[in-house]
Amino acid sequence: MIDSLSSAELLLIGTIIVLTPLIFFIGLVTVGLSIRKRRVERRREDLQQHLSQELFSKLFSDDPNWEKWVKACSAQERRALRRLLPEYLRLIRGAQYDQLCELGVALDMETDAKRKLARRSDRFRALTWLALLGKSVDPARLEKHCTDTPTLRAAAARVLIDSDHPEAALQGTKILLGDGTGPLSAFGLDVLHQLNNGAENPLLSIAADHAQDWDRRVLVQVLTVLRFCHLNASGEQLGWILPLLEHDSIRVRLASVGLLKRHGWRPTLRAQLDIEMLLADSDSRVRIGTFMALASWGDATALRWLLWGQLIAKTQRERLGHSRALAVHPQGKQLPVSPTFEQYDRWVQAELSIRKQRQRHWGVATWT
Amino acid sequence: MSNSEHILLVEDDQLVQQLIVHQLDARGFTVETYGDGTECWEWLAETDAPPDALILDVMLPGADGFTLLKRLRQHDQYRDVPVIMLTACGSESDVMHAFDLGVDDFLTKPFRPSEISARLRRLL
Repeated sequence: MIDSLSSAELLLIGTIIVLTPLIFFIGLVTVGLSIRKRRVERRREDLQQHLSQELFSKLFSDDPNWEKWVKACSAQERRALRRLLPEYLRLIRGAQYDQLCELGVALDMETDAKRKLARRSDRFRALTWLALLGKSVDPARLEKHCTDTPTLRAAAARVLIDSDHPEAALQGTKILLGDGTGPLSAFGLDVLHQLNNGAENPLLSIAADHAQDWDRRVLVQVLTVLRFCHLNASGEQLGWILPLLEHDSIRVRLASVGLLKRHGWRPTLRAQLDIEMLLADSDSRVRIGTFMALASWGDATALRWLLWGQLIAKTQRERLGHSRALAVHPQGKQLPVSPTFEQYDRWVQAELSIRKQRQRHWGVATWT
Repeated sequence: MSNSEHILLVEDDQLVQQLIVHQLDARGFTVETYGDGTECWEWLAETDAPPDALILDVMLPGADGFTLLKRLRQHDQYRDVPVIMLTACGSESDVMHAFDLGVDDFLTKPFRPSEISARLRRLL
């Protein structure tokens, strides 16, 4: 019978004979591994459940005596506790948070995390533990080991904040920005804001010295962060942004004008601003940004510039931007609307009425 | 004061659930938990033993905390039942929205565990 089969048919039968047990074997192994994985997960869940209950009873007792408990735990239980503890540290504040930090110490997490900073693969987890436990690390050590990626830089700066390091603002800002060649992560932007949104604004002096060397993306990020910071600074300390208003990148000019909107009211800074140049910028977004900055300063000089701006606003977008600015300026909204701007004013009034409704639920001001 | 009050906790995060249940159990409250807003509402609509107070998470699978709160306040049986909302995102708009819908108290995560029982005691 075999003689009557063609070579192609023989090949097919051979393949089936080889593949069938192979597929069966792979299937069996897959099912076996899945069952094993599920069992391990279930054991882990049971262990966590059991440990959670024990942890809670100790946590809410007068004397948890963590050292004694941790010593009595098996190595597997200690590993499970190390996995569990960060989750609870994220959730809890107050006296119980302090207690959990003590448990972290008993579990040797601080020492272990500081040791792991030197290991590339464990750095992020080590920084997470240190931040959650609020344990301080020498900034020089963070700078040495934790500046490989934007995320690591942000995590390192976060450790300085959460441990209330006395030089957190300055050292954290330096670690985050590095040499200013790579943009910050979204997490990094948030940390940069936290570091500089208060009594100290080291970012201002760092920017004054290094802004011209930074990558444009970093420059835009720094300007944006500063715009949303409460700055305890004089107009002179912001003088470094003046050359940026003539930067060849539109995004840098736009971000600089955005910063002016919030902080440009300072008399010594305003005295140096060339508003005519800003209103003559080649990009309409910069011109509109300038309208909004003038509106937010809200005085008579700003209003005079705004009225002059009315003459140069030629496109529909600019006229709409100008009408929005007049609606924000305290005296601007009382001025009679010129016929050319009537339709834009109607649009702005409609926006304002929607905004009032929105603020009730979302607190959003879309363009002010 | 005797704390035999029946509290319904609607929270999808197991860790938060365990933590609050432990805290309230220890203070004598009876706590029932749900992890899904829709399931919880189905139970509430049918039960003969309504809870004395609810703790609602904002972000929930099924109906979210705001939807559940809105339904509670439109329901005769639950119009006056004290509700505490719990959220990881304590934005001003979230808080305002919750109070507009008739929440009695609002807590943001991370929180002090003992605060929950203290706030419940004030409301009951």
